[in-house]
Amino acid sequence: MIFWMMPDNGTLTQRITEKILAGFKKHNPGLNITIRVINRRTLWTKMFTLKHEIGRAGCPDIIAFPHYWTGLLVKANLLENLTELDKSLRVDNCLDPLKPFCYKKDTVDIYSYPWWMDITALHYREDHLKLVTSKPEELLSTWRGFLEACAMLKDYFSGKEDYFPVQNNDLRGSLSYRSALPCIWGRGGDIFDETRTASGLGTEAFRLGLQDFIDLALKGYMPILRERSSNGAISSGKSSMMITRRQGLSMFEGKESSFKVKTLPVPKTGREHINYLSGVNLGIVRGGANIEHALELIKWLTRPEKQIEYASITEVFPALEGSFENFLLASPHRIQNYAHIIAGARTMSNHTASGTVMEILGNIMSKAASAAVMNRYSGAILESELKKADAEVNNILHLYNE
Amino acid sequence: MQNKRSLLLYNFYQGLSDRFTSIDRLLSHALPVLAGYLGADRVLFFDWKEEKSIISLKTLCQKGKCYDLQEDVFVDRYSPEVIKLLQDGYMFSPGLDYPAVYVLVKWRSPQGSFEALASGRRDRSRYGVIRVERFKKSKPFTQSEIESLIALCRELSSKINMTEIDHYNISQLQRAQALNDLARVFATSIRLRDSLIEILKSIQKSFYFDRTSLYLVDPKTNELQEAYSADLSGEVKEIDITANLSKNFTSYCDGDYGICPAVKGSDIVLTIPLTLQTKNLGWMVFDNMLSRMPIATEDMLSLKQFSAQIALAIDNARLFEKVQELSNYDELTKLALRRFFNENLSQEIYRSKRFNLTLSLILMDIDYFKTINDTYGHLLGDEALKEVSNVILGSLRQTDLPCRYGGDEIVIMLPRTTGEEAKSIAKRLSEKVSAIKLNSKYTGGADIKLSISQGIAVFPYDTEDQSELIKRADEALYYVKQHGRGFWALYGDVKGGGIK
Repeated sequence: MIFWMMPDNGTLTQRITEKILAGFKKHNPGLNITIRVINRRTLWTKMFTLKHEIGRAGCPDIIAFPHYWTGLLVKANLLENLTELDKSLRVDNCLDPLKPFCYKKDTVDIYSYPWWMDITALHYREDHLKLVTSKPEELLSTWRGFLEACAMLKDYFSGKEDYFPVQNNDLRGSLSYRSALPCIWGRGGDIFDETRTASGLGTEAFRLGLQDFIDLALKGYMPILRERSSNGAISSGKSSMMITRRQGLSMFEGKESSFKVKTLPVPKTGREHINYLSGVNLGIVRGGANIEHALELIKWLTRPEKQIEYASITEVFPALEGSFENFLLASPHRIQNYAHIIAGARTMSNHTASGTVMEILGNIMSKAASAAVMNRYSGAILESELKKADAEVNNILHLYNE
Repeated sequence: MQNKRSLLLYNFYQGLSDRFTSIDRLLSHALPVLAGYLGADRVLFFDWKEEKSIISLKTLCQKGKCYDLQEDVFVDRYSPEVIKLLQDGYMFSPGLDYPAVYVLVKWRSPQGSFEALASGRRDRSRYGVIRVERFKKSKPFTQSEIESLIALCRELSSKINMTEIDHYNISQLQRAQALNDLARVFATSIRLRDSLIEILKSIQKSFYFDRTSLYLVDPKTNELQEAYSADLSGEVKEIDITANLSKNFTSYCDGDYGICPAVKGSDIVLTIPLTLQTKNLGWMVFDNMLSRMPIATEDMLSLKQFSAQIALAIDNARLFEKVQELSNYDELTKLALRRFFNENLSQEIYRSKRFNLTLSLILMDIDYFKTINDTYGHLLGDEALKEVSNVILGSLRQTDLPCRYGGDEIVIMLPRTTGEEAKSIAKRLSEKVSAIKLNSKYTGGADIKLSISQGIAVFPYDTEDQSELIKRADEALYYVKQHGRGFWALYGDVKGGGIK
């Protein structure tokens, strides 16, 4: 059986998953599970060519993918109908925001099952921030205050080589469109309008939100497209803050560090804090040779105790309601930091075009990053890119009208 | 030293002697071998995207395991380090506190890009970079190790080249197979709609497009006639041609082919005109709007070549339909001919029996048709027949089938219709026929009123037999004619009332 997953735990992904799967393998001694770690971009591309590979060697039986891809994968007939495979399968015990991402639109048929979820937040080195402000929490509650903190930190550490107040969490070293979502939502923008029939990329709120995030790079507060130390910048003292999912913390939280990392909601660009909730779902590739085992594996991975075990190792959140509560309650630190963040969490729409819009957004950010690093960036570039993207998204929504 | 290097090369080459279906697979095999031989802690392969000034991490190998990762690093093509890398084939990584060295990998892509093809550029050189790292400061790379590494990367370059050529050849074979399959589809589909559906389904099955759309124009007027598309689910749907898209072939040629202007000219959309000699048949649009994957140059070339066959298949299907129309339909009235009607009636009766459905037949003729013919001539008779047929064709559902049964006798098959419903239809037809105004040039100014007599029989109540059903309708019609004409009668209502 072949299991495709994304490198959510970097180079430890395979090892961690093998450890988690050890118990399953014990119960299925003859079963060989091959884990293949594929980055999100490659996985996205493969989702469109996979239908030509079904039945061939190397074709996956089970895939872990971003929750908002479910609509697309169902549309492409790539996933097995899990309800058809097991009529007793339910998602009632999953967290509410994740439930709509399991079904085929307008049906109660489950096509993917939530594995885990994570939420974007602002993490900062308390010792660094204390050097420039006595009230970091107050300062970091707004985007303006966050930029002020960046300016003060940059000034304070001006003698330090390669210092940037904010560590870039984008694996590609580009500008992370997912991290920019809270800024966009905070400004009142969104990728679609309320009816999900028109693009939201052309609105002023959307542009301003995106610009808020790009400003981090333009002002020299966050490095882009540069070679980064494998240990991360916060741990080496070359950064003080990071907007990332909880998982991004493992790179320095796991070490015996002399400093304390505190967590806050992403600074608000509007009236309230909105944090990006992202999930990873599991689906079975249609027509595979190991459908029964794949279904067993999904059920096994989504058992409450396995959810907690995986979340504890990888520092994500369980996707099941009960496991999530237990996981949160098990640590006063988590409750204290995340109760507020979770309350303001928001996620994408389960639309066939959601993944595409994120790709388009990623391209815009990539162009902005390239232009910024070559000192060619201007607001007009962003405006023109967004205008073009807006027309494209409207066309896609017309073609894939839901 | 030379022997050691040769042995290293030999072992490395042995490890790579298999054929690999993709560069990913080759790298996931080669990088651990490379790391093992050099005692490296980590080996990374970057793809150099020269046009974007970035090197993009593709594969990372650590502790014998390979990961498909992604990380873009901005590179200045003219920086001293890059110039050194291109010149010497290697460079030490700056700014790291452990030993790391970059080595250049160079190969030739067997295919050109859209842009390269358009600009006639022949350079197909591709670059990659291997970064080898040791995490211990005390273990820097020696000159001899670097020389070995360069030699190994040369082997890797050559293997990448071969893998790319293999991959290219396999893709070409698959394309040829796909085109063969398409040709078979064309040979077996002769009905236009079926052909269009099969063309779209086959393209979606054989090629990697998110959506394929086919727009057909009327070859005489160049106006858009119909359009279909198949998306990544493979399902074929009719496109609403009243929507905001180009309405004729000229506007298509001007660049309006029914897709977002923002993506025109980009490598995610391909449009191909369908022309046959001097006839414009329409155009096809292939897009990857959802996946954002560039359309392969080979796909473009294959489909451009094949578009002539697609056009031919469409033209053949149109001709076939025209022939069918001529053999199944009466030229004057455009109503079905008796043989075609009987075939359909027989199928419909079979379906009605199977699913317990009712079916009604209306048999009618134009009152005093012979007198009209004799008094005003056959031209007016034909005109009367044409007008009555137009009324019938414009008043029925798509599932109903009217037929010119002989002379002025017309029969209408009404599936899933009860006797009472058939009576309503007969009433409506009668009213519409009485409103017909015949062309005065045939009547010599006389005001001629048309009327029809209609007899109705219902399956299965009146009979379950096909020829008996027509006979019953004829008997009901006879009753109407005997009792003053110009009205309608249901066989069941009149069978005991005077008819024999």
